[in-house]
Amino acid sequence: MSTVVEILTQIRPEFDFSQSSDFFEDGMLDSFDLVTLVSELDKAYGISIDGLQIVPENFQNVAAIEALLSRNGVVP
Amino acid sequence: MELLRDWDAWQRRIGAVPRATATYTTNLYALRDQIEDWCAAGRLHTLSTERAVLLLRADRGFHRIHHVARDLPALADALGALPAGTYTSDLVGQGGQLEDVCAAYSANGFAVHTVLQRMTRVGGLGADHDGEATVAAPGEAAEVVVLLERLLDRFAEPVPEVAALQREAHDGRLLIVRRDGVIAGMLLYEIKGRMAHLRLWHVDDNARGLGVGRRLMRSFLARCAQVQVQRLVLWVIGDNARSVAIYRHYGFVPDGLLDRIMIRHEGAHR
Repeated sequence: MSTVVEILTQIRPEFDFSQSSDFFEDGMLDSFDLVTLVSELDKAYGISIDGLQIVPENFQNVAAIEALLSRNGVVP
Repeated sequence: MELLRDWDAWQRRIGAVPRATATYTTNLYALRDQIEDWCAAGRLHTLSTERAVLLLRADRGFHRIHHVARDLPALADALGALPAGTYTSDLVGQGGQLEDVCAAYSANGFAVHTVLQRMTRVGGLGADHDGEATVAAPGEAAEVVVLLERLLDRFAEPVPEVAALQREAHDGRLLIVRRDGVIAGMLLYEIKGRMAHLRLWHVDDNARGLGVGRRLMRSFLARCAQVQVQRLVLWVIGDNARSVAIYRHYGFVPDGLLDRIMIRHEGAHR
């Protein structure tokens, strides 16, 4: 199973996601990427992230995404 | 339709849409700050059904639709409940998934207005000569809006409000070139971290071929280089071969993302 960093790197290979604490402020992800990321996480982990959870705060860094996955029953 | 007052109200609307299947569909890409700005301006209404919610953003004489729906039939039902009026919707995506969403709109009287494609330039920018375009002053924003109202297809490229453009000018993100005292070209951009978004770049018809666009673009690229931007993005009308060729000249390539703009004119349905 792909790790969160691997999924992010597939979407934006030009950036090192392990070095940022806020992907949006650092310009590494935009709102279109967010929709792609949700879809890729859904597919990779067999979940369906709730619409209310699709806010930048839940995707701004690797720890936030892993916490979101945990809330959806996934151990990343 | 109901006036949307704040972010919390929007969250309640979205929360009411079940997202239990892989068929969930949305074209809402705006982040919280943007939605809050629209709410504050009193420009947002919602139309809710049991399994979908439409966010209707008032523009100049029409509404732009953003949808959040459990699945495509739910989207089609919600679109069928729209009152008379002129509406557009930006459907962004790639391949068959985009076709399916377009079909839901087509079934409710919408037709393709135009298709935009996203172009991206990735990698660091080398030192280059600044094109020496001028950073517009807030007091010049209104003149830029007049130029844009003349040049833009308002359904495909929203013309900014004067107040919004004044803020952009204040923050140094609006570049202009004047010829004989008149604004001959403009470029509006946004830099966030290592990403730059070229939002608008237009040269007046009677100033083409005079190097106005080149000066604007080189000034923009120089500003990107100064802050070590790694990724530049823009949207261009897909069948505008001339514009696409110019962007390719500056290192942009299509990245596969399309924005199909659907439109339904007043009285075209029912």
